Amino acid sequence: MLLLDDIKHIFKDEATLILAVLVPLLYPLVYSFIYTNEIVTDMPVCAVDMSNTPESRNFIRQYDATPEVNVLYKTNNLEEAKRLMETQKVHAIIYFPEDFAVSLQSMRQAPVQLYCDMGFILYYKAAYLSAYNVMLAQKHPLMAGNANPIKVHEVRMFNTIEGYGNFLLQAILPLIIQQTLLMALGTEVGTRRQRRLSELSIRQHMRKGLAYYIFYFLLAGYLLVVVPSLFNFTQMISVGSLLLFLVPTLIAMTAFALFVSLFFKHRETPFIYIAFTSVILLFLTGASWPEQAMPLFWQWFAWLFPSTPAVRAFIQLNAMGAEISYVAGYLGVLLIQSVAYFALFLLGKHLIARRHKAQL
Amino acid sequence: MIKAKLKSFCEMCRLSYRQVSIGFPVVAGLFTIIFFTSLLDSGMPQQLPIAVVDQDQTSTTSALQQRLSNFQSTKIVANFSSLSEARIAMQKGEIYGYILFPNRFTEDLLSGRQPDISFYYNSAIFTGGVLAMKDLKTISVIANAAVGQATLQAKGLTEDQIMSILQPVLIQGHLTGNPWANYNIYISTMVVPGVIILLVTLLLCYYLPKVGRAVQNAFMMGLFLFIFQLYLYGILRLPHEGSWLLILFLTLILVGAAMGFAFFIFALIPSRRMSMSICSLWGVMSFSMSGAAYPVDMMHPLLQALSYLFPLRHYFMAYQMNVLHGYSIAFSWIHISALILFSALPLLVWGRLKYQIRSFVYTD
Repeated sequence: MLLLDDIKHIFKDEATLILAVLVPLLYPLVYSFIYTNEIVTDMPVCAVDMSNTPESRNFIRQYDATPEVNVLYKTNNLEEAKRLMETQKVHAIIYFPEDFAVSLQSMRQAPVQLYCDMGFILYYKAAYLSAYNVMLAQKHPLMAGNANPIKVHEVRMFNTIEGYGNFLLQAILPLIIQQTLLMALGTEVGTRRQRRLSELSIRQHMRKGLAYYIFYFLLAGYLLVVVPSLFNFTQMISVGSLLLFLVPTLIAMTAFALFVSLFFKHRETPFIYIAFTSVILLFLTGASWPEQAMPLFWQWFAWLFPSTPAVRAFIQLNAMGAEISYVAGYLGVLLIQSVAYFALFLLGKHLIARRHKAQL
Repeated sequence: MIKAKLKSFCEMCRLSYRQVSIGFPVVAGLFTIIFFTSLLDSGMPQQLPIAVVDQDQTSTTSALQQRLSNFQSTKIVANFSSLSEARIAMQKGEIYGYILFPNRFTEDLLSGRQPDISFYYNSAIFTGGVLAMKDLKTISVIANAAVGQATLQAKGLTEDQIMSILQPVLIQGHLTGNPWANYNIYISTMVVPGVIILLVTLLLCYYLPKVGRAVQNAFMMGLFLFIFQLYLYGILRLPHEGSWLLILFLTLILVGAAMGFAFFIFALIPSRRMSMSICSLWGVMSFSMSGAAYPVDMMHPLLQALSYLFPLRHYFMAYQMNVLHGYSIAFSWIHISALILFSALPLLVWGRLKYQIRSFVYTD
């Protein structure tokens, strides 16, 4: 009964209502909307064709035909092309030198220069990879009749459309669970302290945690199942795996939130700390920057937070179709974190109680 | 009675301001700078794990593996006998890609029966997957070339002639503004200012209506942006085309824009919680809306219009045009003026802001 009151309290207080209900409901929708187009298509490119021969025009035609690129301007003036780049009308320039066709005919490799705007990573990727593919497809007249000695198959696994949202949201969704749970619980505890209400007993404090645990089970269903299906993200997790994943994940995240909540003495402080840690935690999961490329210290540091194993396990289960047994290691880490943070929470509670007694 | 209550209330408000200590901007600022610059220190990921499934096990395939192991961005960490083992390793996150040399690969090759090479890469993990793909694709091309080379050599052609036949066109990539393809350049330069101005707006909203305290904290936070730029370009020596003066000017107007935005929000919504919520939402969305990762031009037209409302977007545009590439300010004036306009936003609601600061009552 008391537990039910604690759950109801989440909806009663405006602050927790925002943090634990509105933010988790709306943020993922906003994010998914930002990335609905998913891929770079028809990025504007300028072709500088100093050669102006059937060979160069043919290459440009094939480049233009790739879905990623739209050769919007053709010119024989490099300065003009540079100006287009400066005014951001194009994000790449492909340059054919005067002797392009001559080289081809006289058995010399014909170089083509590609200038990419490195300010935008996805533009660079699109412009470069599609030029590279067109390059590989070029056949010398001598070889025109021959097939390649080896047939190459390229298999893009899991995220078959290579969508950006489909990649990023798989990491952001579990992170939203941890961060909002932390903020909401922190706010509740902070509010009590700010209002000079009596410190929660261990039992009351744990009941608050349990209330969030139960409520977040429902919320996780929305975040990890409803949102991905609304936006057609890859969804390979089975119901059984989802449950086996959620139980330790939510225990670890609740235990972490219980521990961290000991430090909040004010209603609004969680906002400041948590908004800025979110970006850092996202990088620590290794979704966008490979973990192997991180300095060792940060690799270890990452294991302090439940978001790291949770995000990695979720991506593997949901985006890569892993069996639950493949992520057993991550689930183990989550359990260790649960025990550790819960122990730290109890210790902290004990210390606070002792200090209170000493003050009396 | 009322007076006493009021007094105790004020006492409580004052106490609450002590919550975030002056040390917070220092710790948060330094941590953010150190975290991102050291995380991305390697510039470009190297030695990412990939695997080989060699069912043929001949000298030809091992020669190809040898060549693959010389590539910089990947490293062969395992040799599997079956595809399913390799797939499981990928699903476990142990490797980013793998290549299959099927049974009788060499035999088919020698007898001209066009054998297959298949390579698989993980596109659910962006950077790692793309780098694995690049190396695996290149090795497949090299394999083809190597075979062709042998036949053409037999016909007495020179090395250059052979290359021109096997690969008539050669793409030479040039990265404008980021010659080393260094990730520090486009992640740190955007994420760190983003985190710092997010904190600037949050600290302002948190301390208002105590203007002195608020500005002091926000200013300290902003100072770290200057330190960051000095560290990035002075000590780490990242390449840049813009002058120092310009970098400092952009930093100044970015911090100004963030402060202007926060004052504006506070004037409109004099609730600490609501103004902080809005600043959080704005700050966190800024990273996406800046267009540094997924280009704004590719977004829904509605979002393209909305992107003008994010100071970080304008900073990013001005930064990459003027600092990274050294283009003239004539091309980015719209973004620079936008940042200055953001700083001037409080003037629009000056009367209201003054009133809010005088009569603000904290309600939890």
